[in-house]
Parts: sequence; structure tokens; C-alpha cells
Amino acid sequence: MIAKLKSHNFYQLISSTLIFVIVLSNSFELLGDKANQQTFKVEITNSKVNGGLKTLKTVQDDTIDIFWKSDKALSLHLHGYDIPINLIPGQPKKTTFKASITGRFPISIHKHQKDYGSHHNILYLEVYPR
Amino acid sequence: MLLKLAKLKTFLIILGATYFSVSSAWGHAFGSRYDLPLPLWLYLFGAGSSVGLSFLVMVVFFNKSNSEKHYIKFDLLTFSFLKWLTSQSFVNLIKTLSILLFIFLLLAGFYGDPNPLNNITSIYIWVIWWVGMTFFSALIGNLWSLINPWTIFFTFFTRRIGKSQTCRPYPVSLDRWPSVLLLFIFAWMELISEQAEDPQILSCLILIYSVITWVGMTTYGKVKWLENGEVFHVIFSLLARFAPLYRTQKSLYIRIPSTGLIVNRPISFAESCFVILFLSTVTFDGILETPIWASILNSISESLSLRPLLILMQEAGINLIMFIKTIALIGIPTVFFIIFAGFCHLTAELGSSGRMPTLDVIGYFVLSLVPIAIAYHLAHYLTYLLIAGQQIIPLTSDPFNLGWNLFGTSDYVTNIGIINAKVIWYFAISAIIIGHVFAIYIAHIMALEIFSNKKMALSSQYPMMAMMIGYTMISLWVLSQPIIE
Repeated sequence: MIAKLKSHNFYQLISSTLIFVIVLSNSFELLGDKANQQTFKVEITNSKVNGGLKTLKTVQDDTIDIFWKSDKALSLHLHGYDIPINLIPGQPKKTTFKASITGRFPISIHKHQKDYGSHHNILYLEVYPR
Repeated sequence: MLLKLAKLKTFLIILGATYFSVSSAWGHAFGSRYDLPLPLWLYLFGAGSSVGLSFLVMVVFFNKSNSEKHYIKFDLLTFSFLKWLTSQSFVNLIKTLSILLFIFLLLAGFYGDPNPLNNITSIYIWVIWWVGMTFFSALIGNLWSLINPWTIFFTFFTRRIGKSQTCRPYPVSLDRWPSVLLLFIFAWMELISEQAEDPQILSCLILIYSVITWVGMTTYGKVKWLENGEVFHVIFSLLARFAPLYRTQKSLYIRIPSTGLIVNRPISFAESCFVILFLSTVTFDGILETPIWASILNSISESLSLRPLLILMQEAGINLIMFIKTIALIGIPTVFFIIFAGFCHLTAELGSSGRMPTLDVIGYFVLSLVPIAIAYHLAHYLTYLLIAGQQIIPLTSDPFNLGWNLFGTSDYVTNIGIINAKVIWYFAISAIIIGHVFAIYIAHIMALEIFSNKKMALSSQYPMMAMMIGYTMISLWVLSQPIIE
């Protein structure tokens, strides 16, 4: 009887914790409900983002505009969303997309198209859940 | 002087290049990870709950001293409709499939696409098998002991040949050390070497490991080698101690999860080392992706006092990043062990006034850390398994890169939006908290079983609890860090 009671207690403890987590987490509304337009400006000098490794933060379903400028020809890649961004020196470029998927996505420089190992991250895009 | 400057410049360029090649290396995480860091409020909630629940578990189990009740189990085979699960024909079918898969993966590794991301062997071994089997072992039961291809092959051939060969007795002093060494090598390959994802190298490594295993089994006997040398058997059996299901020759039991971690005598020093090494490699994997690790690498590369040494090493052809990671792979488990031993010493002092040797206390309590590691592992790898694992779908249709479309799935594109960040956060935080509660629960039971005085047993748990809270905090902290690949 005691044994049953004790293990019963233990599971009660675990299940109530779970419920508590779910209730509490839902009571936190991280960010607003409405999808917005987000604009970022990224300037790249000598294959590095001015001001160091940055993170662009946004919320799911926002529409993103990134304005690019680079002093060199670069072939960038936004991972996850799989968007290629080809930059020409001196020519500003705009990338527009809808941030439909949550996560933290690296934007990297690809040195060679075919070399799947040769890239490094210069920027991150974080899309938070709504 | 000029030469020195030029050397320095070359060095910095090389170091820079090596650093960035780390960022592009697949590491364990070949197949990118897109996890968002745990938000601050959830991190704080997790931390607070762990502390609060630790005390609550203590209160709930304050009077628990009769050990029998932790071993409540029920034989599922009393339900006749489940009997097929242990029937010989079903087991044989599973074993045959396992062998066929083993041979198929070896061949696909050698003859499939050399790009690891497009090769079924790399994806299967590193994502489906390695991550998936750890999940399965911890949450369901020890499947590996049933499908281990090395055991199946060995049993098959020794039956054919007959039992003419004589086994040497397994040296007592060797204990679990072969598995500790093999685990270190495996962790190094998984987390540090950039080669182990290459399908051809992977197939070669599988062959080499097969030879090691069969030589071990032939020399010391199948069971002895499985227990002490077959590293995956040791890992999955360790995780399956947590699982709710366990199998014996004629039964399939369901029990309270984690009660398999209760031991009635201390596990050996070698086995404790194995557990600590395994737990630290799980955390180490996460630490390698944190910004702190990146800044440690940066400060090493910028340190003036280390520079001459680094230049010398670079000239000697040593890969610096791999070298630093190797040092960390040795250092982190060592520090982990020392800290754990320190807390166990305190536990021994408080629980038995120092009469019980610290080594015994380590052997009793080390397994109670396993739920925390399992929880972190689940939280860390869920998305990896769900996203990187999808690559198996197109590859199953064309495993040898011959343009086949066997199941009509060769054009399948990975859906990275399969699971929302919110779901992952809640899953992660629930796993971490539940794992923590299980750990405290197991440690508490152990204390009441091994220390005769109940009051002392309880006070012995304060250092243990403090240590577990610390360990859980590290897991939470790693999950709250942005991944830097």
C-alpha cells in the first residue's frame, strides 16, 4: 500500500511538473501577434561583416528585407532557407523572404560551389516562434 | 626578424584558416543544426524548478527505506498477444535483418556517394543509429543486445565451427578499461576527427572495429568481451538501465524508469570512469558549439606566450584545433571526475562519518547521474534526429548513387520546419527537469540503502544534490547558448 502510494506520489510529482511547465510557458507570450516587416542592413568589408559577427533577430512569419553591400564579389548562402546571395562589389543588393521557419540559421561565404566543406559563417539569422 | 614576422603571419593565417575550417567541419553535427538557444525566462524557470524539485523529492521520499518497492516489475509476456515479441522466429528475423543491414551499410560506405551528406552509411551510422539508438535504449529498452551484428556473426560462426577453441580467462586487472579506451577513441572520432564522416573511412573503421571485437570475443569469450570491451554494448546497456523495459531469456519486464540504475554493490573504478567519460562527452559535444568555446580558441590563438609553441607545433604538422580539442576531451572528463569524487567524499563523510571509502561511494552514486545526461542528450539531439535524419528518406531510394528511385523518394527534400522552436524548448526543459528529478530520486534511494543511519543518509544527500543541481545547470546553460558552428 505504502509502496503504491509512494510511486503514485512520484508520478504525480512528475506529471504536475509537466503541466506546470506547459501552463507557465503558454502564459508567456514571447512577442506580439502581428507579422511585421523587418529590415536589416549588412555591410561587408574584406569578407567580414562590419562590427563583427552579428545575429539578425526576427519573429516567425515576419517579412525580412536584408540590404547588402560588399567591397568584394562574394557568394553567400543562407542555410536552412537555402537562399543564395551573390554580391558584386559596390552594388547594393536586397534579399527579401518570409521568415516562415523558426531556428538559428547561419549565413556563410562559399568559396567554391562544389566544395561542400569550404564555407564559414559571417552572420546568423534567428527566427523566434510567435 | 623579417623571417619571423613572415612566419608569424603565416601562422596566424593558418590558424585562422583552421579555425574557420572548424566552423565548417561537420563535427558530429554534419548536417547543420538550426536550434534556437533556450530563452532566458525558460532557462531561469528550469534552474528554479530543478532546485525546488530537488528538495521536494527529498521530502516526498523522506521515509522511504524499504528497497523492495523500487523493484516493482511486471512481465508483459503474461499478455498472450505480446508473446510473439520473444518468439524464436521473430528474434531470428530481427537478427537476420540486422546482419543484412550491416553488410549493406558496409557496401554503401565503400561504393556509395563519397559526400557524407549524400551517403546512406554516414547518415545512418551518425544520425539514425548513434543518436536514434541512444534514444531508444534510454526510453524503451536495450535493443542493441538483440541486434548487435558482431554478436550475431560471432555466435553463428562459433556454432558452425563448434566450441573447439579455448578461451583465455579475462584478466581481472583489465576490468572495463578496454571499453574506456575504445570509448575515448570513438568520442575522438565523433567529436574531433574530421575524417569519420567520410563514408569510405567509416566503412574501414567499422571493419577494423569488427576485427577488434571478434578477436576480443575469440580470446576472452563472447560475454566477457561484450561486458568489458564492446564499447557500444557497454554504452547502450548503461542507457538501458534507465529504460522502462528489460528483457530476460523468457520474460519482458516493465519497471519504473531509472530503477535499473540502482546497484546493490559499488561498480568498479574502471566502470565509473567509463560512465564519467561517457557523460562528459555528451556535454563536451554541446560545449564545442558555444561562443565561450569559440572565444577560448580565439584567446589561445592570440596569446603571445603560447605563440612560439603553437608555431613549433604547426611546423611539426600538428592540427592545432584538433590538438586543443583533444586536450579538452581528456581535461573535461578528468575535471568532472575530480569534482564528482570531491562531492562523493563529502557524501561519505556525512553519510558514514568517513567509514565508507570514497571510491565505493563513487561506485554507488555515479549511475544516478545518468538521467541528467540522458535528458540533456534528448534535449540536444531531438531536432538533429528529426531534421538530419530525414536525409535517410531520399538515400534509401538510391543508396549506391546509381540514379535509382527504389521507393520513389529520391527527390525528397529535407523539411527543416518539421518541428517548431517552441515545441523543442518545452520538450527540452521538460526533459531536463524530469531527468533531474529521476537523478535525485535514484541518489536518494541509494543513500537510504547504503547508509545505515537514516538521518545521516539524508544529510549525505545535500552535497550530492548540490552537485546534481550544478550538473543540470550546465546542461541548461549549454542549451541556452547560441550554437556557433
